Amino acid sequence: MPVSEPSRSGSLFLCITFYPTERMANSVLRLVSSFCSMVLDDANVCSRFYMAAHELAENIIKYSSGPKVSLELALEESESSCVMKICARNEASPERLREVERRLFELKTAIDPVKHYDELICETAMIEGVSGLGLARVRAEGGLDVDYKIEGNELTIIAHAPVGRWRVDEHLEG
Amino acid sequence: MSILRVEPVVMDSFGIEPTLRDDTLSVKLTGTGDMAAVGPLGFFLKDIQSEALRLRVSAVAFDVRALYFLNSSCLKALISFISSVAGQGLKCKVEFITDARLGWQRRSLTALERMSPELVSIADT
Repeated sequence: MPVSEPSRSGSLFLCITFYPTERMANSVLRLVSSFCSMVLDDANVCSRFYMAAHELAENIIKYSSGPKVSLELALEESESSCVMKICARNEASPERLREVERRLFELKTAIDPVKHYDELICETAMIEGVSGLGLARVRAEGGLDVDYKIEGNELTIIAHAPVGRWRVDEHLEG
Repeated sequence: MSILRVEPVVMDSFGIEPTLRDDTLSVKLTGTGDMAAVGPLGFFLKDIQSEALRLRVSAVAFDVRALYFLNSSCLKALISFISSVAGQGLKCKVEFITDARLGWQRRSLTALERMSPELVSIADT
């Protein structure tokens, strides 16, 4: 069953729409870093989500064919769990969409994400240019599950993982 | 031993400082390894590979303790470097020196160790 996109009614929701440039990405990622540090009180968990957001942000910038891209972060709580979601959205060419759909399907259905990542590393080690490792890294190294949706020429990639604790106290204290 | 023929990289948010100590080529990486760093890092690693061959060093040691992020394209540049070193049959080890307090460093570099365990090692300090 596909994972839902981040909910605007979650405990925390951040949506940034920006021009797909390297300079804009740097500013957005500084904001994301602050957001993760503020919300997550475990530095290792924080660095995993930051890495995932960074890879997704670079991905949507590099392959965008539209004027704008967006990155969303959301913390969603239920009675039994708390999930952090990162959603990256861009418009891409039909060729790029076909290629990324193939990659994402392989990634999503890989039984062993670390093995899948290691195989990609070996396959691409001597190929010049694009790394092709970012999305696989999000799942293997970051431990986030990855899902995606393609509607027309719009690609949405959602990475998500449960988080044990977040800084709820600060939220309550205002 | 000959003098090192490779220049440091100095950018606003990223830096590379090479030094030669005995028969080890030390490379200190600082800052953020993001999109802007990919090109300079790739060129530098090609130069350092030639230097490792010319100087017949026994190890290239990357000190990443002052590095705060490494994106997948920068990781890929390191992967290509390690593959090239292995492919050239250089008797040269590749070591990464990490800050044990920054867990992401070992987590990110472990994939390189898995790729080439006989060549790559990671030392936490």
